[in-house]
Amino acid sequence: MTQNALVLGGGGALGISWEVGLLAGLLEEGIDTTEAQLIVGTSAGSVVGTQIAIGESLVELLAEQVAPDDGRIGALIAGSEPAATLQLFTRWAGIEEVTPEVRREIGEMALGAKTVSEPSWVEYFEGRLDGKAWPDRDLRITAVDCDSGDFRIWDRQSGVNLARAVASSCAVPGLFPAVTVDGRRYTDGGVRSGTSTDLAKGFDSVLIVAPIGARSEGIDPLLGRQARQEASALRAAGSRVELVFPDAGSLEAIGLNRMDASRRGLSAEAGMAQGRTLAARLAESWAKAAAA
Amino acid sequence: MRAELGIGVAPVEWRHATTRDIDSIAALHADSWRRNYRGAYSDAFLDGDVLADRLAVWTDRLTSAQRQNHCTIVAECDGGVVGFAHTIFEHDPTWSALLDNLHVTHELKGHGIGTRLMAETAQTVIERAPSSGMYLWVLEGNIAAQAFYAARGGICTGHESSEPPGGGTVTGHRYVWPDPSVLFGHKWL
Repeated sequence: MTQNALVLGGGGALGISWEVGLLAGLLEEGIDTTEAQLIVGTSAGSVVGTQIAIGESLVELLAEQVAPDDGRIGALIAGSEPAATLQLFTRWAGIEEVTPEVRREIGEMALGAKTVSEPSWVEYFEGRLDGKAWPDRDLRITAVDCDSGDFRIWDRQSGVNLARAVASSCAVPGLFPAVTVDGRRYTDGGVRSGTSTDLAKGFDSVLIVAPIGARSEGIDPLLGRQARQEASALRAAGSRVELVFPDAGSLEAIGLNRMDASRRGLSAEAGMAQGRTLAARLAESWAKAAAA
Repeated sequence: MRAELGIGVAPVEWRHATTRDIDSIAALHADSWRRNYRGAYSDAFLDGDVLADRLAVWTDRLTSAQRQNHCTIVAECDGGVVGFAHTIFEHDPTWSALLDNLHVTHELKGHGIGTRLMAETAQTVIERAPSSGMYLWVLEGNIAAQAFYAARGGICTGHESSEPPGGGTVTGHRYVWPDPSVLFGHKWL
């Protein structure tokens, strides 16, 4: 049996909206990516991937995105200091190649940043995931150990609470608190790669949804380069790979602040339009893999 | 009804439809079906008789002697109909009032017209029968519309197949508001 993998990358609150919209647009055209045999989630992608894996429908996920903002994301961000966050992101954007040393450096900055408290942060995800446990399917969530710089992949065998795993993956350095698991503190999996598509090695068909990487400023060039390199490596190993960044319409909808909760509906709608267009191209590789 | 929610510079007026609206409502209805029901309704119907079909239906609805059993609210902007909601009261013993059609002109989607039409409809339904619920059908493949209704408190209570105008089979999902008042006086508006 051939296997499909869905790789959902990081991209902030609006990365979530755009990814949900994109997958809903694909579903409208008859491509159900939620049935993938593997879901890899990084940061924003860990939220969407987990919600899918625990059985929430794309209608429910999309409804969440087009409903009025409850203000919670804004409240969580309010615990951080914009100047310090900007400093960290400037350093991150200047990285040529992501090595364990660089990850440790970002991890250290993350630990030193002023943010909302860790319990408040984790509680947000417990609410969002409704206290659900790991699903009985292959869901992999990425994080980075702040002190060692090591890459960490959470799955149902890891023994970590699901909400805590997602909270760690979403812990954007400088913006949100590192999350403690077994005495070690973890930051956003995006510090290693916005997508970590290498985790889908060996799968026949791989769809990479990458909210970050299409712009020419900030961390986009670095994460875009990582995503393209990962995609090439998988293609070279024999996978059919579709790498999707936001198109012009989606970039305009998302705007420059990926945490601007007031643009969730717009971003989701732009994602939907892009998903409907993408469907024709994806139909071949994805459907073939599912039917073979 | 009140005139609020300006689109650009022109305000939108919310009022009950009259026989003078037959042509514009039928045209908007046909255009919306052509854009959104492709694949569910037959191409032959959408490319052929849809406008004549809608004209016949709206002529009947807006001149019917049974008008007290249903109501049509229109959104008018700059002299043109930009959206409408048609509701049949006490349509179903379990689910009560049926919001049979809700359409907004393609160019003005995303401005809250559909949300406001639902609120005006809910208000009318409750004024008529305070304990009435409200429901509607969404095509199975229309994920965006399902999310729109779910985000506004609609609960999906099942699905049924039926034959659409022009023939064939479509599956609809039933979205229900046991208390339609959640749709007005709400953070949406």
